[in-house]
Amino acid sequence: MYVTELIILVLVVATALAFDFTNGFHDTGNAMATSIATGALKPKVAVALSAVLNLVGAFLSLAVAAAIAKDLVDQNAITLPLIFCGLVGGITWNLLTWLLGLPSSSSHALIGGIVGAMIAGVGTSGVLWTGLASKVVIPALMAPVIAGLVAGIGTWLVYRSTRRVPEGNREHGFRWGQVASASLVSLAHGTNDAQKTMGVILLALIAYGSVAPGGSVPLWVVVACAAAIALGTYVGGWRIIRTLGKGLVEIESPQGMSAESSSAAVILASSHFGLSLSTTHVATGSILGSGVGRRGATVRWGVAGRMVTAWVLTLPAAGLVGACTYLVADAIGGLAGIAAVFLLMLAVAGVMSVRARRSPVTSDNVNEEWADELASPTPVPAGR
Amino acid sequence: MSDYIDLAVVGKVIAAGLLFGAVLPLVFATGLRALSADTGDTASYRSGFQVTRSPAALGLAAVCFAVVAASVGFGIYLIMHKS
Repeated sequence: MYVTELIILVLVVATALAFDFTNGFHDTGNAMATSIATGALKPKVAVALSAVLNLVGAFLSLAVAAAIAKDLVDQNAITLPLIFCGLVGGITWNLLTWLLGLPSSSSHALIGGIVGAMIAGVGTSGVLWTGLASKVVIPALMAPVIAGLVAGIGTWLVYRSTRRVPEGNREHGFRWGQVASASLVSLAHGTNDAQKTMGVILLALIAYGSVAPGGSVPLWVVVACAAAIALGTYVGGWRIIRTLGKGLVEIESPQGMSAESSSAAVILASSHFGLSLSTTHVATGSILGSGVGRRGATVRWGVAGRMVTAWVLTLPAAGLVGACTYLVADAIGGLAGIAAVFLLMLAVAGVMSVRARRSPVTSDNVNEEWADELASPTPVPAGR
Repeated sequence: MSDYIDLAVVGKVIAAGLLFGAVLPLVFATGLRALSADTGDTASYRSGFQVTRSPAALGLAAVCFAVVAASVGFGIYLIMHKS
C-alpha cells in the first residue's frame, strides 16, 4: 500500500518536472525570439543566456503557494490522479503546439488539463466558472491587446526619435537594449513559471503526507524545478522561436527592443497589480505591436490568426486530454491506471518528436527566410 | 461585468506598461541619439569623420542610460519581492 502510494507520488513528480521542461522550451521564444531574429545574439548564446536567467529567476522568489488552479477549481476535490492527468493534458498540448510551431500559454494548458480532469472526476460542480472567466478567459483576451498597444506606441516613438541616427549605429545601439530587456523577461519567466510547478509538487507532497499542510517547499523541489525549466529553455523550442522571430513580423533591433520592453513592463506590472496575464500572450502581442508601430514593416496576420486559433483551443483541447486520461486511469484504477497513462504519454511524446525530425528546426536554420509555412522551413543546408 | 473585470487594475497595468514599456524605450533612444552626436549630418558620419560630441549631449546620454539602468534595477527588485 505504502509502496504503491510512493510510486504514484514519484510518477506525479516526474510528470510535473516534465511539464516544467516543456514549459521552458515552449517559452524560450517569448524572451529570445526577437534577439535571435535581429542577430543581437547568436541563437545558441541566446538560449544559454535565457536558460541561466530562468535558473536564477527560479531561486529569486520563493513565495510558493501550495495551490493549483486556485480560484478555478474546488481545492478540496483535488486528488493526486487528478493533478497527474491535468499535467498530462498540459504536456500533450504543449508538445502538439510545439510541433506546429505555435506559441501558446503553458499555464492555460495546465489549467485546461486540470479543469478537464476535474469535470471527468467530479463533474462540472468542481469547476468555479466565474473564476475561470475572470482569471483566465478575460485576461487572455486583454493581454495581447494591452501588450500590442504598449509595444506599438513604443516602437513608433523610438523610430520617430532616432530617424536621423545612421542606421548602422541605431541597429548596433538597440541590440544592447534588446538583450537587456529580453534578459528581464527571462528572469521574470523563471520566477513565475518555475513557481507554478513547485506549487504542484508541493501539493502532491502534502497529499502524500511528507509535507505538513502549510509547510514550505523543500529545497530539492526548488532545485529540481529550476533545473527542469532551465534545461527546457536551453534545448530551445526552435520551431516556436522561428514563428515568433521570423514568421509573425519582420523585426529590426529597435522593434525588438520595444517589443521586449513592453513584454517585461506588462508582465511585471500585471504580476505586481494582481492581474494574471500569460507571458506567451503578452510576448506575442508585443511582437505584433512592434510590427504595427513601424511603418512599412511586414506583419503576417495569417500567422497571427493561426496563433489565436491555438489560444482559443488551448483550454478545451488540454481539457479533453485531461478528461480522457482521467477516465482511462480511473477505469483501470490505482497504480496500474496511472502507470498506463504515463506510458501512453511517453508514447505520444515519442511520436511527436519523430514527426518533428521530418522537418527539423534547429539553431542553424531558425533564421532562414520565412516562406508561407508553418514550422516547415527549408531543410538545414548540408555542411552547416 | 465588474465581477469579471477590475477596470482600475487594468488601467494601472496599462499606465505602468506605457511608462516602462513605451516611454522607457524612448528614453533609451534619446540617449542613443545624443551619443550619435545627432547633427542631422549623416554624411560626415559615413565619410568616417570623427564627430565631436558636446558635453551637453554626453550628459544627456548619461542621464538617459542611468534612468534606464535604474528602471531595470527596479524591475529586478519587483521580481525578487513578488508576493
